[in-house]
Amino acid sequence: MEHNHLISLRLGFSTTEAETIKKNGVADFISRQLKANHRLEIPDFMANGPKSMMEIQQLKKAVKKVRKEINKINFQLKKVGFQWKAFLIQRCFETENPLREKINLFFHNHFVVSLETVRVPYWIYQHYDTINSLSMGNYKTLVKEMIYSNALIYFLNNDKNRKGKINENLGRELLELFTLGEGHYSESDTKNAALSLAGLGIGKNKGKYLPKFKDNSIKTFMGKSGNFIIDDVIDIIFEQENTPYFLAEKVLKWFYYDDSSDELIKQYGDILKMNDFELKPFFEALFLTESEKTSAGTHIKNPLEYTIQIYKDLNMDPNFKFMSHFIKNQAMDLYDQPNVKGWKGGKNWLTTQIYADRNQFMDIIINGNKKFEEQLMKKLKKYDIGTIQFNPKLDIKDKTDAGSILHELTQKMIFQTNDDMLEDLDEILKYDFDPTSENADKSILKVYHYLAKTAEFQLI
Amino acid sequence: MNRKKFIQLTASAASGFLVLPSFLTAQDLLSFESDESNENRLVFIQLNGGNDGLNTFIPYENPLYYSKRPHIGISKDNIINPINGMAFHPALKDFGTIAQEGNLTVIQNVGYPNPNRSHFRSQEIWQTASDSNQFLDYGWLGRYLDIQCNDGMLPSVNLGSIDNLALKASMANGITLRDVNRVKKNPLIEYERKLTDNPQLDFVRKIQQASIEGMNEINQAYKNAKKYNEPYATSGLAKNLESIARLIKGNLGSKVYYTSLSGFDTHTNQAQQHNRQLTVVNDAVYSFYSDLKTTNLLDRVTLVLFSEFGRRVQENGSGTDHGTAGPMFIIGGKNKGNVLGKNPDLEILTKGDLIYDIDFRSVYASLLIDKFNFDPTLINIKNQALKGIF
Repeated sequence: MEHNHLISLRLGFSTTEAETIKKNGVADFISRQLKANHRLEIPDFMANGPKSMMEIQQLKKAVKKVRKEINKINFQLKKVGFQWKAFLIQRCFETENPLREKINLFFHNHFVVSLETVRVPYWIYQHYDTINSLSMGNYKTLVKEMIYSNALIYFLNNDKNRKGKINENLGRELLELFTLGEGHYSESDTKNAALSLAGLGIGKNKGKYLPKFKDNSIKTFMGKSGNFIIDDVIDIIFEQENTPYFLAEKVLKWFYYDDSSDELIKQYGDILKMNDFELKPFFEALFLTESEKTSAGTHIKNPLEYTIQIYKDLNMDPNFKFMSHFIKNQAMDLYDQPNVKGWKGGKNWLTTQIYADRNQFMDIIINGNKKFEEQLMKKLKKYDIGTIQFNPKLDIKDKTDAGSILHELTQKMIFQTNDDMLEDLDEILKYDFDPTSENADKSILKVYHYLAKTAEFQLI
Repeated sequence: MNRKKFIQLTASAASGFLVLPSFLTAQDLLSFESDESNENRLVFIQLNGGNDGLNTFIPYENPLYYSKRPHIGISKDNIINPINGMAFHPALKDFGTIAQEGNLTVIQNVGYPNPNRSHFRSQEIWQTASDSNQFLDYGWLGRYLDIQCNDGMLPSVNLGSIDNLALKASMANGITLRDVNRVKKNPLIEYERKLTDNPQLDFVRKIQQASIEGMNEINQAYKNAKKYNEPYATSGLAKNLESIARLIKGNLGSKVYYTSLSGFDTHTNQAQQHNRQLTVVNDAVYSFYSDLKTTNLLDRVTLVLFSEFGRRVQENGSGTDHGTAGPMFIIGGKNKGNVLGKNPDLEILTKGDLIYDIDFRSVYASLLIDKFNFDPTLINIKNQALKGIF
């Protein structure tokens, strides 16, 4: 695979950026992406909906317990959730800053909240908005803002965490999943973090402490004592040894390596620590250094990377709702991870079933299947999914002969070839292949079809 | 030398993908005879999130239970099948029936030393049978299958959307399916197994391989299975158990089957949520039990239910926080139908949690010895096997 394609895939979702990277250089690309004013405008379907649990309850009250009407409201909320998922994919697909969107998705899988549990789509939107505006700022600030996110407070039951009725859920996950990692704190730390969170409940735009439920006792956290609120606890967390390394490991996993070496985690964790947890210099150093390396095939593509690459390679009209449905079936349901730890990634992205489904998806795209398209449209009709059709078209720059075409596609699609594969490819597109013949494009698609099903294509 | 075999599986691909499953025809063939037919099968249900043991198998005669759980304690009036001071949650009515028929063993206070209250870490400990401070790459069942399963049979079947660490093996990797009904006959290319220097690539190739080999066997077993005429419940768990029953009835060679159910992390609103999840468990398990009983397979199939931990003794208002020890349930497999271990001690606690009494690895040891005639020390389980289950 050509190096620019590899970088484009790793720092985005497709090989679209390869040209720019080639022209202006990697450093320029990374720096522009990280500097960009990456905006998020609230989509209409979100702006026009209810903004809180209370507004939803009022809507339901207004229909006076008529089951049918309540079901309608619930369905409408579900639909907004589905639109939101499609909207996120659209952002990844259309953005000029794919790296920023990939960073956003990383943090959305770090501070996990699920639509299914939270049920107020607007809170989920706010959660993403916070990530989008702070992802180039300071990690500590981001953690503090996240802890006050209504979505997170509700998702981890902190609205039920009250003085005398301590609920440890959010306190525990703050330590285990957001900052320190398992094994780097004690049960007593969990308990005291939870005590410091008592009374932090749902607020208008973000969470707030309700004085009557707040616990004002002296807490002892990591050896320090005081009448802490959660901001104090987070300050102490950021003095702990493992905090920078925990994040560095997860970032390496999301972008580069299913299994990172300890040295690499240390190298980048040190940079984060040295920069007082400023994220921009940390990301910049990490992406720049890693882009110089030529090793590849270290990371199993997640379903979104897999899907967007195929859509862009084959110039297919994107149907974002369908894509959302497809990646959900591939075990990647945006804002609905299976549990609070988020997608584990790596080898967990592929099971026998998921691999078989990926290959079947390729069959349908290349061979066509009207019946399938109709069935799917019928099934998803209630979500206004529109039409689903694939019509794949490949752009090949150098159509001189079979050799040039095979070279171009392997350079673009897979990180390495082997003898068996080359032998097969020579069978699919024989040496005397005539690129000007009537059926030429179909034959070239067969090459894509074959390559997209290889084990190598599943990796970056 | 490097000739590849192209395995062409029959039937058209694609027609049912993602949508309406093209159901495999359930033919009522006589199950064919094979050496496999007398072998034992183990089936696991992992209850994710930390099932509240005290509200599942309830110490209803212990006044401390009610004083520590004023809101969520289960009233004496509603309990099922009281025995020796303990009884089942009202949702588990059919567990009562199974117990009365002598086919249910309850093992009380199961846990491990230095318990970890993180879901993920504690699941790992259960799945790898490690010590609390030890990290292992392969699952306990995977390690067993690596040694025992070298006959080319599909080693294990996991019904779920992601692989389960308990089954992770260095060689004997099984198959993970979201829905057996959706297994497609899909032409794929078989690679020869050659080890590259890239572990990720090797992994993907093995998955590719398994998706061909496994699906073939599964299709075959599915066709062979005798039909069960009573409908299972409609939950995902019931569907998974129905599929497992069907694969076992169809003489699939796999020795180990696994599935899980989430929704046990009841920090709030426990009364309703726990009732809902236990109802799902009860209905699904009872269908599975009846299915196997009808087809005379219950003696060969051992169903094991467990969770990564129990929950705190003291309620937190409407729910409970993460705890430690809890009960395990064994159904079928000629178990003796007893309640093993002491009733939970609600007075002497550590950090508000139950102190475990029986190490889960001693239960694993018994399963391996009694059901598979396998020495657990070979996979580094050193605990004495728990006596009295079988």
